[in-house]
Amino acid sequence: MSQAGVITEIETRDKDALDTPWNVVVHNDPVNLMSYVTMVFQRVLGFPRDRATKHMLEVHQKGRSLVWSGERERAEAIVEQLHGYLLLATIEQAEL
Amino acid sequence: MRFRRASSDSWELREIHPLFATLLVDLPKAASRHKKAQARLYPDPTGGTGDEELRRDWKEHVRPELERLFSTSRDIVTRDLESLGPNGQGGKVVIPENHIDAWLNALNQARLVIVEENRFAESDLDHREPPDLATRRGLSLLKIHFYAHLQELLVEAAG
Repeated sequence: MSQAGVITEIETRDKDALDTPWNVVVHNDPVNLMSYVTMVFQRVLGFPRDRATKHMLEVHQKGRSLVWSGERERAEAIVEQLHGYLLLATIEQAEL
Repeated sequence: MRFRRASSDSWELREIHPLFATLLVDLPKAASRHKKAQARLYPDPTGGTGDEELRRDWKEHVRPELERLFSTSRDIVTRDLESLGPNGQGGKVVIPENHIDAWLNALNQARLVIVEENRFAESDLDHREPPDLATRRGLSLLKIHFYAHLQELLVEAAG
């Protein structure tokens, strides 16, 4: 009985880890132009221009912006695309 | 230098000052000097959080894709620049609309490489004074600003 209980607990924790969303964060760098970053956000994330500009300004003024949150595989695909545009992007597991 | 639409599916740079023509001709070469800019061109997707598995997968699967993308972009720009001649005396460059992304990519590679090679800080790039062209560093700064200007034009064209 106790063994089965332990197994159940581990499975639950793994499920929680899988369900925890992953964040895509874009970081500021001195090279990428504001207009370019806005264009990339529109293309990669499908943001309308206003939202893309808001996130670009957040990157510029606060040093980082959380631009997407969701399942890990998709988050990795987005970061890969952003790296293709030479933006500084990372994937981070959201805090529970 | 003028940048204008040449046809329904292309843009052109014309009346290019010889100095800027030289900088254009140098673009693919500058963009390919990846040695000192590896960390910036291929950043750690984990931001150093210690997810070794992701970092390993990234190096194995994503990095080769990025290398291919960057190399293809430089090749496209190199071909577009052929009309300019080796010393930029041709005076005109035609950029097909479907090459704009490659140009944006190559320009960004070059700017990132030059920044890393010269260890420019944000304050250097924001500096409003004209760069001192008697120094190598000043010439590099001019190159960065010129490539940024081109990028702005192309972003507008792409929009």
